[in-house]
Amino acid sequence: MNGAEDKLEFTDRDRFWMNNKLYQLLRFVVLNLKILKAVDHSKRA
Amino acid sequence: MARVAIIGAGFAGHTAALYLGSILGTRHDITMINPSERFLYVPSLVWVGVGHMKPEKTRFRLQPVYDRMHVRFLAGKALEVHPDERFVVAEKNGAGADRLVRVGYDHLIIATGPRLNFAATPGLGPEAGHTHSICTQAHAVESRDAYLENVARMKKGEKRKLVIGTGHPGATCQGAAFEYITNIHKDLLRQGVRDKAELVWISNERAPGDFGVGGITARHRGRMLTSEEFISAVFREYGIAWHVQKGVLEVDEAAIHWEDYDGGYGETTYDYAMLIPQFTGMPLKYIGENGDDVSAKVVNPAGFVTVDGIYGRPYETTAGDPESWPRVYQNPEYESIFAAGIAFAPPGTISQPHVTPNGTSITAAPPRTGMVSGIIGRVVAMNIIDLVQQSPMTHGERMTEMAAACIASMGDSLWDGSAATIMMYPVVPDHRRYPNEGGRDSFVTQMEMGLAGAWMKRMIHTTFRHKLQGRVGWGLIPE
Repeated sequence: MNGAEDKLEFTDRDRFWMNNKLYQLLRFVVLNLKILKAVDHSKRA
Repeated sequence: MARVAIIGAGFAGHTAALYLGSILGTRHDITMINPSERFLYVPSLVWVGVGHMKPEKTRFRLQPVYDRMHVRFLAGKALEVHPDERFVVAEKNGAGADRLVRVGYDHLIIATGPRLNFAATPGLGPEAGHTHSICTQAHAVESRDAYLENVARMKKGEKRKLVIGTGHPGATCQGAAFEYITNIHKDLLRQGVRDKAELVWISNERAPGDFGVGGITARHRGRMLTSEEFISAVFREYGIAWHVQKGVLEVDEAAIHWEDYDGGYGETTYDYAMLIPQFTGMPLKYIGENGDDVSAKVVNPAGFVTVDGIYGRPYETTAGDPESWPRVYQNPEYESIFAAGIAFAPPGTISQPHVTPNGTSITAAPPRTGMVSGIIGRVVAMNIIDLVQQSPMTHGERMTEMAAACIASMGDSLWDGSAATIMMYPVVPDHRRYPNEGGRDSFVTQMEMGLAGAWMKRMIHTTFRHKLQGRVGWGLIPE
């Protein structure tokens, strides 16, 4: 079975941002913040 | 002096040993029993399996770490647990008459990891079957060699069909298989033979991106995006065909035989296949004080240790009640026994179960590896420290409170690599706490693809290895 109602497609614009070093540095910081938020609860358990 | 024994130096057991050794090790007896003298960093075996990482880079010696942490290390295999008399019988590695030893304990952590049950699927596995695996270092090396042989044939102009996914209707660890297929795609591009390869994903998931957690939903470009849409887009981007809702029943030399959700039977041909087997609990004998078998008090029929979860309820009840999931991972019959990581019995699946008209259950089992294992190892260790210090247990964390990240790298280069980063919090949806569609925290839960994921992957590989080797500041690095 191949997924039926798939809407997301990666565009050339997406591909540009996926490898844009400055933007990805920002995403790297954001992803780390997200992890820190999650583990903050965990460490207090 | 209290005695704590740990069986298994994987993520869960080793993390527990670090905490126990560093806090109790100088005054109490902490013993680790593990067949291998080296720690294996399993998540990086994906890179070994495509020839991008040397196997040695995924391992380090345990003895120096345990020497620093005041943990006694017994390199050998645990055979029996005597829960009434509180001792473990282990067989030390090597030769000699005194190989069988007794390890007494006041508290025992069972963190054995999974038994790779290739036998549940005839024809599966590298030893007695036709498929490959990346679940152990030896398997990953063998997979790499077979994969590179296929690449060599493609370079001579042959077309090859590579099938990656799960090899049992109840398998888990779809994330690792997904990472493997995307790494293969990237490697084939690099080797200039991508056009010679047909890449196929086959799994027991309800939909692509289920990953045994029922899939996730996250905000993307101002709308809610499901992991099914996201992973389907990744598959399309990389030209990977996908077949889900397939429970693999048997593999022969040329084809993978499966049953689908509707009860139909079919087959997928292959030239190379890497399929994750069913996981069961490690076989240990549990012997009572009269020599009788007390396994039923400790483990479920699949060999996983029963703990403080609520078992035997229908899926809908378990899914609607976060307290179904264990909090302290303590066996209710024997309070001295704790389980951590894959060794503990989950109360049910996270993904919606499915039974075919023929009665076959095709349901992705819940993942309990990596971050989840490490967190449970810490929780169990901290509670044992409480007990040794004569206080009640003060730590607890259900899988409805834990975060997990699946970072499926697509090339490991820090310059032009990429990775699909899938973060979820909590692992098991908690619709009471997060009354949204997915039952998860909408800030943390995230799916994206890009170079930042490759950096995350490398950062986690480096920092986790640092932590697991007990180096300076290890306790500050989260599990």
